[in-house]
Amino acid sequence: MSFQVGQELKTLMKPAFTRNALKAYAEASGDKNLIHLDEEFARQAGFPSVIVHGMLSMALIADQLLYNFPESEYEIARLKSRFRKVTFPGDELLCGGSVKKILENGNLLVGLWAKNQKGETTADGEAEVRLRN
Amino acid sequence: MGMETSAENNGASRSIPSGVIEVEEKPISRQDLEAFASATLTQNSHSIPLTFPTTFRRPEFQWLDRLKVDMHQLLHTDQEYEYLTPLEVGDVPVIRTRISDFKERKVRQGRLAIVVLESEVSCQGVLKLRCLTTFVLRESGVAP
Repeated sequence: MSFQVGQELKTLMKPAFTRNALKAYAEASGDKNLIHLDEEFARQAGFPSVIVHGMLSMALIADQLLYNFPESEYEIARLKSRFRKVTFPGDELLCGGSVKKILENGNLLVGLWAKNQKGETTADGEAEVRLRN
Repeated sequence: MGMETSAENNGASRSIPSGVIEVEEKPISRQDLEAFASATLTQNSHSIPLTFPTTFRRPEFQWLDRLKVDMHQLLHTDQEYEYLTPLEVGDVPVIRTRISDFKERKVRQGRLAIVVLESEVSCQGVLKLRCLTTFVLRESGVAP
């Protein structure tokens, strides 16, 4: 499968985040910062409720990347994400992206994003993708 | 914010705490990978999920502890992984983390500090990946 510069990637929608999902992620990742788990702690930090781990959003972005660039054919050389807007339980993310350019080393530079149900970009980033030998 | 700062310049000050924190993790197990894939709703990775290295962040948290960061103030804003050699089940990750950048800025409501942590993850002596983590620390009263 070949990709062209400017080509849009297939999008991937994930179910809305739940508080239980945050607890499961905290256990699996080891990130037990109470801002993700404890309502009172989150309010003291200035948020209306607990917030979703940025890294959980990045995991969804990563899954969308591999949805487009299957591991059987491609390797990911680099993955970068910026968390632009806080995500809350109940939010659901649509992940997408596009091919930005072909780098001198032949790798593809891919732009990535995650948007919430309001169409707001909650995270974006980029990845460098190469064909497997 | 409980962090040392040095000479100020146009409202920004900078001081990079020195040193490296090194931690050896337990071997990567299939059970851990399955739990992580399940918790992240990962469907398209059949090896090590791309963000699984987030489980290697103990040195980062130790740095935050050493810097006496109030976790109420902490926001994770950026993450980058450079994958050099594939991780495998059974690998024993050794993580070496240092602070690669530290800036403090005055904003209208107070001060913000931006901390960048750089980690190298090696397994059995082979460098597997590099990680860059950026945190923003908000002074009390600065809106998220």
